[in-house]
Amino acid sequence: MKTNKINVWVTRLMLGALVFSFTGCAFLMAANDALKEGKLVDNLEPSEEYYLGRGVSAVIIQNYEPIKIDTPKQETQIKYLNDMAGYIEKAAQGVTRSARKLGDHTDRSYDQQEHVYNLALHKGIQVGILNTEEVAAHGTPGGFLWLSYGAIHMCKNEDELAALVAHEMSHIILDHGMANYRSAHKSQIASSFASDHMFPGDSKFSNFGRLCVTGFESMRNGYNPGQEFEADNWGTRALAVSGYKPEAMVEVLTRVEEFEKAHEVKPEDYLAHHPPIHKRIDTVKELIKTEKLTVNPKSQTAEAIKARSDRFAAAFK
Amino acid sequence: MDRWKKFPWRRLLALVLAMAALIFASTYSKGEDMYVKVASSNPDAVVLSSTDFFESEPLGNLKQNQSVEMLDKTDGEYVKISATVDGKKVEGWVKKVILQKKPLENSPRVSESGAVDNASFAAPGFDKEIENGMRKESPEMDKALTQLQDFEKKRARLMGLKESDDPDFEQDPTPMLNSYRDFANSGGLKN
Ligand SMILES: [Zn+2]
Repeated sequence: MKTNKINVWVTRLMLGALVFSFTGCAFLMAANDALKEGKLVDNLEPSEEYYLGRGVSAVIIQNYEPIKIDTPKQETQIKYLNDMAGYIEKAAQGVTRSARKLGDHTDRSYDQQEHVYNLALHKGIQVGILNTEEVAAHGTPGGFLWLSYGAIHMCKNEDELAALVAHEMSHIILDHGMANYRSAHKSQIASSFASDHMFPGDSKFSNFGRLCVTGFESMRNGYNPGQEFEADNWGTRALAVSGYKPEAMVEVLTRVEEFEKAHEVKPEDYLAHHPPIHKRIDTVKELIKTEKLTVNPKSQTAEAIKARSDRFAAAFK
Repeated sequence: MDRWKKFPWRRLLALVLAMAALIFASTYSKGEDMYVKVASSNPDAVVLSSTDFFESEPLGNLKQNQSVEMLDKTDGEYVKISATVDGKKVEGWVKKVILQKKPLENSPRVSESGAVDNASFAAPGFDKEIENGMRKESPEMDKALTQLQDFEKKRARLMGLKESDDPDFEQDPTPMLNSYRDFANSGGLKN
């Protein structure tokens, strides 16, 4: 190769390296402008997701009354659910978060997938109960999970409740809520009738308030079918590694099917957003077979089943 | 010889240095410092003696944004680290996912490949100050956040932790970790 040719190539490579190393700075400048305009930025730190989750939770509890946790029964319920969710979250840390391995039901960009791989909950998972027989379940960024009595009472035993918890937890861990919000609003903080009414100003505090309100509204609109299949997939794997039987996901989905048949599910209901149940049941059965997900035999002894059945009854019967 | 002299040695050297810096930034290496990105009250912020959830002993509680030294061992989702806890040096296991390369706070985010994420922005700073400012703008949100803090306090007490009105209150979550373990053991879930 001629020296001047080498020269040209080295220069080209240098320029390439320069462009590469300055990408971050360019985006940083864009971000500072975006913040002034009240845009929603990506890749929140765990503590920021936690504070956003507190704000969204504050909107949830304005819409559904949470239990006050002031009776021994309610204390038992909260302790039981938080032990269950905390244990499953801890046990399921090694469960894949790859969109491809979770059945290829969703599209995640490289950056979103990286964010999901690295997602950690600031203070772990915290479960609260909404005092309504309406079937409702909401997971917020930062690890708050709100289950209604209606959703809990649909479950006939601990394993089914664990399946419900694992499914809802996966929406948090796989960042489904924020992903929908970003794509629906092009990473800008949206505004709505309710959010503008509560926060008419344009300070950063108002922007944050509008984000909490519209974040709740976006969550209430539900997840897309691909996200539901992905949540079933992650949740079923989480059950297996936690010692529960993975078939409990099939059982809880059957409860949902029974509930849908017994009640007229309205389009605005939480259950109406989920894809056809029979399709989800078949997909979960197929997953258990192909991935050879098995139950921990120790959890199937008469003694273990009785222990779980007794504590489930003590909390929710 | 003329050709030798004309060769762009300086540019090549700069290129090699730039590539070396990128490669260095993209790999975990022994002795590298990482930072804790979760709250101290997260059960994952407890350094454990082993990667067996049921058998491990707690060795110390890490603080948010504390630097820890990566040791040369991984096991599944766990990494072995060395850290100073309450003035004592401890070596043990934590989950990889609670660590990041850069300290927190408004820094551009760097992915594991060393590239700056193309969605990498300065942190917007959602924190207690923003929450308190928002509370002043909406009495409904103020009331609901008081209820929420009450929920967090009661839950903390039930899980064996201290109650606090401060969402950033730091405390050792080991009792909560033990509670999870008891739940699994008593329900026959232990593998
Ligand atoms: Zn769902």
